Amino acid sequence: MQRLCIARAIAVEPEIILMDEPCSALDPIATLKIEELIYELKENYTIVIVTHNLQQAARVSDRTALLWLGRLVEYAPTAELFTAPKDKLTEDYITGRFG
Amino acid sequence: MERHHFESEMQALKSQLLTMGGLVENRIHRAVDSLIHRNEAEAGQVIDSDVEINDLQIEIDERCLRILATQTPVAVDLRFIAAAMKINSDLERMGDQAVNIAESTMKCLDKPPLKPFIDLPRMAALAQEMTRDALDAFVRRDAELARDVLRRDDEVDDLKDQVFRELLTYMMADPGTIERALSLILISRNLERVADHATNIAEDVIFMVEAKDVRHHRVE
Repeated sequence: MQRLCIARAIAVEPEIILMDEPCSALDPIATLKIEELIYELKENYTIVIVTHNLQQAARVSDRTALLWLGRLVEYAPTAELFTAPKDKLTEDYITGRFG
Repeated sequence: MERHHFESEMQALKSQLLTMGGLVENRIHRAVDSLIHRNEAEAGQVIDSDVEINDLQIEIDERCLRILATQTPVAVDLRFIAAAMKINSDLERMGDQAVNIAESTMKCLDKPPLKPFIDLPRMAALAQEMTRDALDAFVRRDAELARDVLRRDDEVDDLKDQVFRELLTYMMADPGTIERALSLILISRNLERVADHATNIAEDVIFMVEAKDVRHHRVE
C-alpha cells in the first residue's frame, strides 16, 4: 500500500516528496523495503520524512530536525544530532530521558 | 520502564570499569614495589594475576556490545559506550605493562642492584596518579581533571629521558652493567607507556563529556 502511494507521488514528477510516517503499521521487512526505496529515491528527489521512530530517522536521513510543540528545536546533520546534540531538549528526547 | 534496565546496565558497566581500573592500579603499584624491594614472589604474583584483568576486559567488551545491540544508545550515552570500550582496552594494556615491569624485575634480581632508585619511583608515582585521576575524571565526568592529566604527561616523558641519560653513563663506564641498565630502561619505558594510556583515557573522558576530540593535539 505504502509503495503504491510512493509510486503515485513520483508520477507527478515532484521536486520534494513529503512522507508522513511512511512505515507506520509495517513489519520490519516491509519497513526495510520502504527505507531501501527512500535511499534510492533520494538521489533524485528531496525527501522529507515525518517519523516518531528515532532509529528510522537516524538510519534514513542526511539531516534531522526535532520539532516540539510547533517549535524547531534543533536541525543538524543526522550523525551530529545523534552523537552530539547541541540542545538539551534534543539530548533528553533522543536518549529517552524526556519529561 | 525500559530505561530502568538501561540505567542499571550503564551503572554496571561503569562499576566494572572501575573494578578493572582498581586492579590495574594495584598491579602497577605491586610491580614497581617488587622492583624496589627486590621481591621475586610479588613480581611472580603480578605476572600470574594478569589473567584476571584479561577476563574482565572480555566481560566489559561483551557488556558494551550487548548494550549497543539491544538499547541503541545515542548522544551522551553513545559517547559513554564508545569511551568505555576504548578505556577498557587502554586499561588492559596498562595491565600488560605491569607484567612487563614484573618480568624485567625478575631479570634484575639475579644480580646486585645497579644503583639506588630515584627517578623510577617518581615516574611510577606520577603515572599512577595520572591513572587514578583519569579514572576519577571518568566517574565524575570531570573534563577539567582530564585536562589536568593531559598536562602531566610531559613530566613523565622528561623523567624517562633523564633515566635513559643517567643509565647510559653507567653502561659507558662499565659494560658489566649493561644488562641491568637495559632492564631499568625498559621499565622506565613501560611506566611512560602507562602514563600514555592514562592520557588516552583522559582524552576519551573529554570526548565523552564535551563531544570534543582532543587527540593528537588537535586544537580545541
